[in-house]
Amino acid sequence: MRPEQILAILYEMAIVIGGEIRLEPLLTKTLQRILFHTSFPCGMVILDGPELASRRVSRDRAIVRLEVSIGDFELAEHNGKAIELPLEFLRGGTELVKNPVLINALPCRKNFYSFFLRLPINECGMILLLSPVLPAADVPYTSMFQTVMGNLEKAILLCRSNEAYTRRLLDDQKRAETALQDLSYRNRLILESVGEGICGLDRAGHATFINPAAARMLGFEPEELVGRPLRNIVPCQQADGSVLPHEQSAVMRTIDEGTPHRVSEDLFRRRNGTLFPVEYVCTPLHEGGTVVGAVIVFQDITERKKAEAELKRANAYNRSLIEASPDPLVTIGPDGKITDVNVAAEKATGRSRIELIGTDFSDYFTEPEKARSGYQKVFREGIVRDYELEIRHKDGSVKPVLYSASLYRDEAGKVTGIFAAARDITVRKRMEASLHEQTRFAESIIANSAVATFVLDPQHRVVLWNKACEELTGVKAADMIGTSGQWKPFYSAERPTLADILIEGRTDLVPQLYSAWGKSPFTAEGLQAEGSYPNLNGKDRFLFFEAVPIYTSKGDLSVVIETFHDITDRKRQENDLRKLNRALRTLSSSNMTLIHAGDEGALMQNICKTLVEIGAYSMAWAGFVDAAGEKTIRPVAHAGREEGYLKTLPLVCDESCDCPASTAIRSGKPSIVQDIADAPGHPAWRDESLARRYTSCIALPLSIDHHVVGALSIYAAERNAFTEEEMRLLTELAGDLSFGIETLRTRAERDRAIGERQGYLEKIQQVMEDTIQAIAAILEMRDPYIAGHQRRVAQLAVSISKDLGLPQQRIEGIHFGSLIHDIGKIYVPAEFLSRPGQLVDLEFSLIKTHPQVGYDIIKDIEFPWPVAAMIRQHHEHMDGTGYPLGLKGDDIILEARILVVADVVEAMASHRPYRPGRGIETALEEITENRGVLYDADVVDACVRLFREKGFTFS
Amino acid sequence: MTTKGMQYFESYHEPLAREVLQQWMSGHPHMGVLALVAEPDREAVVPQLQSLCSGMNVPLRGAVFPALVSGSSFHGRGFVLVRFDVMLFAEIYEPLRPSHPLARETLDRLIRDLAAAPGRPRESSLFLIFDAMMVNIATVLDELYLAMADRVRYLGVNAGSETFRPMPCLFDNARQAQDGALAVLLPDHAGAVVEHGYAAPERMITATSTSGSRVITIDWRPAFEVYQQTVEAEYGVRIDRENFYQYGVHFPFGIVRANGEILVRIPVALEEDGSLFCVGEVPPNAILTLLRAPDVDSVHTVDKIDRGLRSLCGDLSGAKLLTFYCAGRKLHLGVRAEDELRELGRRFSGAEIAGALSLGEVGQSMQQGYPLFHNGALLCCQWGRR
Repeated sequence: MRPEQILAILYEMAIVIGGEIRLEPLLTKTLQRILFHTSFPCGMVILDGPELASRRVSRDRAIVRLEVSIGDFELAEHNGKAIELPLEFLRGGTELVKNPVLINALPCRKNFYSFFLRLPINECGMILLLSPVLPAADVPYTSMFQTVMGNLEKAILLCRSNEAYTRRLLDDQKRAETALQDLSYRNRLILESVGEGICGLDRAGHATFINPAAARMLGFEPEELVGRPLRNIVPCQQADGSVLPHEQSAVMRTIDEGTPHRVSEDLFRRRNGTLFPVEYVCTPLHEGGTVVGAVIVFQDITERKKAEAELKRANAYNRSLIEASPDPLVTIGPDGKITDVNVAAEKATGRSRIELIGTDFSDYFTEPEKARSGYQKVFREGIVRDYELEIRHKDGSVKPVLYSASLYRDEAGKVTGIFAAARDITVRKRMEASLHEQTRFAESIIANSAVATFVLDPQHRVVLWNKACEELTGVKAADMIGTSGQWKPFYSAERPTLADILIEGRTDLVPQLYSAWGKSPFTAEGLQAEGSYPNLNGKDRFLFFEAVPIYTSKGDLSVVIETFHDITDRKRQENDLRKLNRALRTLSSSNMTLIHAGDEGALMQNICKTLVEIGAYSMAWAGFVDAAGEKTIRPVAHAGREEGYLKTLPLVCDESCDCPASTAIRSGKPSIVQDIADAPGHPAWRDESLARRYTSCIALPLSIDHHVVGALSIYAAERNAFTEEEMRLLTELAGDLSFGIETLRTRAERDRAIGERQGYLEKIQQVMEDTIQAIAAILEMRDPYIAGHQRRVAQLAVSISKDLGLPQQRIEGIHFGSLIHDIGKIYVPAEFLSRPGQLVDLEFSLIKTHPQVGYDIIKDIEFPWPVAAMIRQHHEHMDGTGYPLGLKGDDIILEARILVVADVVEAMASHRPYRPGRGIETALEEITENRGVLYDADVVDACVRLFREKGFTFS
Repeated sequence: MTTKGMQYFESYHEPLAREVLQQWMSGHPHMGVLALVAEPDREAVVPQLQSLCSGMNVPLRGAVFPALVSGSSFHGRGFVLVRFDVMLFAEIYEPLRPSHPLARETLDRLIRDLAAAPGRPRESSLFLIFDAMMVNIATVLDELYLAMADRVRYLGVNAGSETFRPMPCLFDNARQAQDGALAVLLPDHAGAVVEHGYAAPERMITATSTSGSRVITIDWRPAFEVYQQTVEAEYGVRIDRENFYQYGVHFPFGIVRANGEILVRIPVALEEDGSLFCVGEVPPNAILTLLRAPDVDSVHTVDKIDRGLRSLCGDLSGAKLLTFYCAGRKLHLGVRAEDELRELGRRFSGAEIAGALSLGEVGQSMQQGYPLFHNGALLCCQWGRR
């Protein structure tokens, strides 16, 4: 065989070896090509040498792993498995041996093979070829495959390195994917379990995500909305009922401006076309600094709107009562100016409401000074009764009146003015004239009135106890008239009724005896009060009392009339409404807290604070189950009148603690005690609670992923404080709080995952850099003549890149690509590269394959830079005369245009195997001469500048 | 009318074919038939054979070849029927074309079926008839040898059109197929002898780059450009797409093996991009030699076949010899091909010879060795059990 023919075989083998980056195909294909080229029918690869044999079973036999075998089906059944074989196979160099007995020790076809050829893969292992006859060959196989075995060893090392690298990458990727999937799954669970409607939108306003709550409220299935525009569902209605153009809607402004928008009231449209009121927050979604969409979180505020309407109606009702009064009524500010009047006042003065408001009240009396004096008296004494004045009508007529006035205060108790009512005394006088008759008439009316009424004389004796009173109290008039037992139906021990208080003139007792009280709007001395009566005639009742003193014409007390109404139903409704409002306010405020929560501790503290300040509960505290210890409950926040209460609780999760928080944590359900005083079993916490005036309480479990992690406990000062609706809202609040905690924990977890992922990426980058350095080291080890060539090329290429002002990331790619740009030369038979003298045509043709071979080796490794393209193009010329692709001009990437110049300059300046170095000047002349022809003009200029102006030298 | 089990028909005459089959069936009630059909008669003969055999409940497998061999002669028309005394494992596997998504699955199925087929290990031969248009035959052989190893011996040929026109060249009783292979497992079979006698020339044209079955460049210039110049310089003939195959046989490529043997690759078509298409795969990125008008040692070839067959089968008098002669070899040798065939007939004068002109040949350099895909070769094997 001629050398050219051997070279062709070796080259083909080298290409096969160089084309694989995984070990198993590398070994299989190499063995296939060796069998193809030789006449051996069977071959095997073992990568355990005598020293690496995993286990010696005797002095001369060992167990090794059979990586692959081809050509003998009995042997092939052991591929990838351990086989036992004589150490003689593993010892020694390349040799062809006739030893049928030794071969029979292999688990292969028996009594068939006579010869084996051992081809050591340097230090890596060996290839054994088996044949029944001496294979024909023009050249000795022993020496022929020596070079290939060298290549194979390097390829095995590279494959092992690559597979380890790939495994690391896959592990990293898998870990990252698992973390992301878990995060995504948890986020989705959260989104799907919350009560608020949540919609994700893309930049165009098309739905990308709809949670079940949103779909339910809108009347759609989630999948029906995804991908569709939401503009018909989120119409954005203005106060005047008109609909804003889509682009001006809060949603689109959020997307356009990249800032959140809160809309406290708007109308969304259901599938059936009906509208419903909502409150919503629209938050932009950012990705890499760009707004990619938005998230709408909304809630149906229909119930809240109803409550507000109810309040409005109540205000209107009050106003209508005022307007219905026949007496002129007026409110006067601290400055003496009229702030409001009723219709009767307009009639009495002959002036409209608008004319009167803002004017001095005294101007409308015949004696302004006296009027002002009475006004000041009210401020001094709090009340003025039957103050005689004369109103002057616009038409000049005068009407005598008795004025009664009292202070009125705002919700904070601050005096904001006086309320004055005038009464025409002409009528009164006329009435007094017929008083006696009227009294009888009145008594008759009272006696038959549907309103429960009793009358006391100044000696506290009952003089009248009407039928309605009998019915309501269950006490007959006959048993009451003439006695002073009027308190008996109401109270278990003697105490004054409201009428008794008026008789005694001890109005100071009223606040102590009644939970709510006030002056009668009808008479200056009259009193009103409310009270709760647990067992009045067999029923729990809430009564409204009004006691009015009746005086003789001489001003002496004649009788006191006390009426009372059963307002149980109204009070219950009011109470429920009040509680509902309180809970709604609490929930709304808590949601704001949730939205803005930054960390778990602050969130819990703010929720407790909100419950106390907005919800008006006595005390609230939250605790987490401390699983690390002995299942204790660790308080993390409290607000309100705690007064050391928490320290008195055992705060453990087992049965030894029956406080509501512990019970809620154990059961996973709300634990409610509507009357702590009646809590069964007289628990220790009861006394501690009552000592702090906690009368009822509720504890709500906090859950994450269906696991109870803690509880939120709320204490109220009143019995039965928690209505069903209120409990529902508070449970919802606890759910929201759980959501908030989970979100914060998820966010922390996500931040951690992102941090870890960044760590993986950095590690991957490091691994890639290490891989490149390792490849470069192998290349340089391989070729003594170009040792350092790549390193020097990299040095020059990086300097040129910097001179051209390329960004750092791109310069890094040029650095690494340059470091291994001749990797394809691994597979050019080594003797070509290191043989002194000129290369023959065939040899040069083989060398010319190295850019493509290098590309094939690197192309499947994912670098963040175009390393493979750099390697393939580093012998391309601007005019298309380069190889292997014959690319022209800008079709060659800039990195390669830099590399080719650096490569040429370094190669010419340095000593080569077949010629001495020509020096820098010659190299610069070469690139200058071919500036714009073979080489990029800008790159050439930069390179020349480096050497001639900036003093660049190869280190 | 012979009843030995091999019969050449000049044309399709239904009563005659029926009569032969009936005679065969009388002695071999479980027989099957391998049909080799000349390309010009494919459209006429294949459907009629399918109809006839199906009507007679005779399992039919077959392939289309450029021409046929019978005795010592080549025949451009007609068909050959070869009897399986007892019908064997013989199935068409397609698609095997590498670009087809089911190719890998088909190959795995072939391997599974072969492993499960009856027959003692190392005592059977796998006879493969490939569609010559497949570009991955060497890869299929690699895969088969990797999986089956020496469980079987390997022999085979390429069927199809001499003009390399894609066509359904494989068939059975019911269908005609392409881009696949007909696999026949011959039990108790000694294998085949494949020989081409091409000698490596003294001078070789320098390296070329290749991909699959295409030669892309010769000496870093477009392959066809070099090819044209060389043929024009040597023969004074301007080569073009039309006459390419005619001249390509005189300038085949050679893959040199380390044992000194050469695998011939005859370029048979000119691709649009100027690359040259060969029958049979060329190892990826291999460097080929260009065999310039190679010498063919015809006597040596026939000698080796004679010795090889007798070594495998012993006395061959009265035997049936299935013989495939490379179509490219016939073109290259011209009239000498007829002489070669006659010499083969003379050597095995007591045997019955039938076969076809093939477009590639598969054999092993030594019995049980690596299966190799050749061009320009003669393949001979005994038909029937040892």
